[in-house]
Amino acid sequence: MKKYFEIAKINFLNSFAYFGEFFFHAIFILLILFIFTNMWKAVYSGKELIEGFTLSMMIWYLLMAESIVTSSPGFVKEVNTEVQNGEIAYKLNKPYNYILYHFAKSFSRRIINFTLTFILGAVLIYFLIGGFDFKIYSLFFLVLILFLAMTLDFFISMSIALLSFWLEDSNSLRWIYDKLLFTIGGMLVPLEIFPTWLAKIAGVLPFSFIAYSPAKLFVRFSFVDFFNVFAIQISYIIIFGCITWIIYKRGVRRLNVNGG
Amino acid sequence: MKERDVIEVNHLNKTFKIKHKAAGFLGSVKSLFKPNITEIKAVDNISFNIKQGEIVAFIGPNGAGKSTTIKILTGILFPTSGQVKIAGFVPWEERTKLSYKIGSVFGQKPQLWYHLPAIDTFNLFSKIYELDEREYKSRLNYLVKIFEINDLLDIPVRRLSLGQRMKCEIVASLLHRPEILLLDEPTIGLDIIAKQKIRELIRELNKKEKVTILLTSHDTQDIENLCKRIIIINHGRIVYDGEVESLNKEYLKSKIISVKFENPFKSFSLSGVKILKSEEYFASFEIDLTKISVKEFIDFIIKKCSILDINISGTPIEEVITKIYQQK
Amino acid sequence: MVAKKNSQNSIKKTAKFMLEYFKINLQSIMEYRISFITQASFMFVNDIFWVIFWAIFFNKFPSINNWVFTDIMAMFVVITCAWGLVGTVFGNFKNIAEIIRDGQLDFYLALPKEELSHILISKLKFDAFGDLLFGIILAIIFVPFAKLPLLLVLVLVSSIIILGFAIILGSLSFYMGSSVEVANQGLMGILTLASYPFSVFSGFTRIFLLTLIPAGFITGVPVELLKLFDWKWFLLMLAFAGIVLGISLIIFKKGVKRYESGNLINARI
Repeated sequence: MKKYFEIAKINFLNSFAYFGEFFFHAIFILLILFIFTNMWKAVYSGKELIEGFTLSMMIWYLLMAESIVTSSPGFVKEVNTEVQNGEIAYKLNKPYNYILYHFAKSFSRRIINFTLTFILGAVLIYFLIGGFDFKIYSLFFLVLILFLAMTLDFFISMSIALLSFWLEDSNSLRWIYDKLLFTIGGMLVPLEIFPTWLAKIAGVLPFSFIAYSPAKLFVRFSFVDFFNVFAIQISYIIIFGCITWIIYKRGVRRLNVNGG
Repeated sequence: MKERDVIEVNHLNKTFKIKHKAAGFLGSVKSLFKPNITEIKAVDNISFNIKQGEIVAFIGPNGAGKSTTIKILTGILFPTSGQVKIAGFVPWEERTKLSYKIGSVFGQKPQLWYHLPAIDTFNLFSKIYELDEREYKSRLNYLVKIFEINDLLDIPVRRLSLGQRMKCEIVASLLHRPEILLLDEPTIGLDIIAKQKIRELIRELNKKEKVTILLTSHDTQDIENLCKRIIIINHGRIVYDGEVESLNKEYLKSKIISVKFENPFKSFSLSGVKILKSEEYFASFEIDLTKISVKEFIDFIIKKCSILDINISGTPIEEVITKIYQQK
Repeated sequence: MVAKKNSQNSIKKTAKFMLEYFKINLQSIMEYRISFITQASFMFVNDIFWVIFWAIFFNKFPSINNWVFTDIMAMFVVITCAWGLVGTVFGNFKNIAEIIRDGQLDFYLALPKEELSHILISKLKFDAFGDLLFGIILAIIFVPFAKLPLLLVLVLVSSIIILGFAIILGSLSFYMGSSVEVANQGLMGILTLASYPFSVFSGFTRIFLLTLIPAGFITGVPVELLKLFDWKWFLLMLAFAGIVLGISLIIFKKGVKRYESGNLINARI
């Protein structure tokens, strides 16, 4: 019995150390929230609604979008390394397990990142501008959409990471992907702010379904939107899931041909 | 002409106040308000003088106060009490002026820029030490010739072998004609031939230019080959300061004798004799000269067994030094 | 007469010294061409993304507390040029805390040159070139020709503030055991704050940004001065830069003294 207590204690202390470290990194997110709160306040000055968002909705949108995007645990490097030094060969026997293994590993980290980020940010925002009219009944659906968004993000990231079978280092692609999430993914501002033509394009690309859609549903829930987003997320997940699978299989074959 | 003292150390003391803090963020916060301070006496009343042109080994186990002393000599640390004069300067007060007189080579911390050819670092040093252009060029040529690194000058340092790199490091430290050279592990990681070459060069340098050399090295061959004098420091104090030769004599109280037998070896016990290793037809012994003489041991062993071959060797200097380290 | 010649000599020598380092740094660029091009390009492209973002934002909201698109472009010019300038000339400005923590300071102390400047110029940040190039191009596009001399002065003063701020944060390592994280976060923080329109901040925040985390003086004030020059604020900015640099040098020097006494926090239970 004592042994389990020790394990629990170590994990608890570990998470404290992790929390300390995390706090430093969270400063960036809090800073962005603070700056954008000031910026939006200036933009709104007096206005009630902009494109259907109130001031506080806009800030809470940002928090949600940021929490999703920044919670992504970096496994690109890890996969790169595993591919480069052939470690992946050892994990070949159960092909789909390699991908699922990374999925499970990164997801647990991601949930912790997301939760901590969101809670920290929420405290700050509530203090700065208060809350908004959150529909409690949407919680379940929201969690579902969040899960799908993170899954989609995972598959896109994984495809990029697995390109290291061919490229020496797919970090630059990862970087471009991040930038796309920031902009047309709607992380910084909702797509409603874009000029119409850009918003239309962004609205079909997968990136906006990772940041924009979940964040918008969070602050402005509607069942119609929910079903739309749900359907498209599932579609993209299937598409990128297949892409990941194909890249993986091709890459493994290449590895075998080249002798690893 | 009497050679002057180029390094004078008098009653040097250094005590550190160390704050103990617990790991992590909370620990740091706590130590701000309630610090837990202990005092450590790193250097305890050290005195020694070194004359110009001497090559002195300065060794001690890790944590003995060696690097603290070196830091004080180079002016990076100032002492709690005591006097030091290097080339006429008080190190921590006139560090800049002193830096022109001292050169240093740290085996583990290279000064050459890794990805550039050595010549670029040399040129940089010439500007750092504000060397006159013409003098620098002639000095460089001279050193390049002696150290035979002409072909290596334009190759990026990271592509040089360790031995080649070391030669370049030493050249870099000599460009400004220092009076004193600090060598810390100069032959570490080198193969036998490279080691010998480096030692040769150092000896030659010392002979030609009368550079005073302070060598800190865990390689006892370096010490035996280069140094006449050795200072051993332990627990912050000098435990030996004298000739390397005398070291053996003073601490040589044992000999190692290995014997090959005709018949299978049967163990025995004899006062003053320790069996180091034993196989079926072979054994090696360490005999304590205070308890039994070499003659006595040989007489004994011949009577006991039939001997094919016998080998008598002194205790390697490493063991002598280790013994000294272990004292107190 | 001799004293004047000596000081002239020492200026010449310092110039030679800095030039030699710059030469060596440029050579390391050649040696690591690919890494240089990659890092510089990424920074350049990164900056372009930001311009696009602001273009989108200002397309929707043409004026934010009196700042318009050209103002935010001016802000970008200042921050990329200043940050890029510091990174190319004093490339080690972000690493001071690490150098102190790892004992690399000893290397610099044992050499005849003044250690702080030596530390700073002994490295060159590759991505800083991307920033600098971008800033210059942006300046040519968005800053009226007549205002370029003023811009140059403002960029220089801004660089001094950035440098001073970095030195202060790095020097905390002397007093704290290791200020690497604090320095990194602090520099990231001030860069972020200086990359958003200063006009949105008011009251207490504004004061904070003009004192403790002087992002306001790094881009906020320069942009206002470019819009409408005001002697009071210009002199204030100069004075502030001087003070920050002065304080940073004092803190560093005092820190070195502390280092030399050897009494730093360095033991952990």
